[in-house]
Amino acid sequence: MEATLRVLNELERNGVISRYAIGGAVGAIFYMEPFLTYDLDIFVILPQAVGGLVTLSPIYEALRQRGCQEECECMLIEGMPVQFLPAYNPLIEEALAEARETLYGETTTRVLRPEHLAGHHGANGARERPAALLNLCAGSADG
Amino acid sequence: MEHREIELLFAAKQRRRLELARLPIEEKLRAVVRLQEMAAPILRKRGTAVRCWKLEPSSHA
Repeated sequence: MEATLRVLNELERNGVISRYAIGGAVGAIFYMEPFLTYDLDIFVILPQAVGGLVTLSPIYEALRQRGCQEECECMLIEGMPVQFLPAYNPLIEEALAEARETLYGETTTRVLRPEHLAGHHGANGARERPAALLNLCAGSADG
Repeated sequence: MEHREIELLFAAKQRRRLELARLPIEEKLRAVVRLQEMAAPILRKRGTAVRCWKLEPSSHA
């Protein structure tokens, strides 16, 4: 996981992505009890492409050059399936802008705030998590 | 079973969830991997391809 985050930080430093934050189940686990998941959802703001076209291709290409492979809808980064999700509406743009910085081990990363995670899970069919996340909003995340 | 006993059971369950939520993220993800390893054989039997994570040996256990 830490090696995966280091790769994501490098993509951001190199301008392949403008900003990223952990979302999805792993994002929720920063605030909640652990539960089963198999992939890491990463929300990204992409640099403006020529013609305004939003595409994940530059991320995939940069990762392929590092030797990462695709697996279904994910890229395998340091053994972890990572799914990239571009900011596709104003709420997710806000969520990325307000994501909190935290540490995983010794590596800096960002995780969406619980209210944004709850909003996104609610919109995507993970029915039980939003209420639990909002209950935990008063609590503190790790790091 | 009395209503009061059920309330105590749910309260204990909630306390446990909060305790787990307060664990360091590194420890929580190690628990996720254990869950993945438990669920993977069942999911694979059902035809779902899953990959269990290999977390780095932790220096911050």
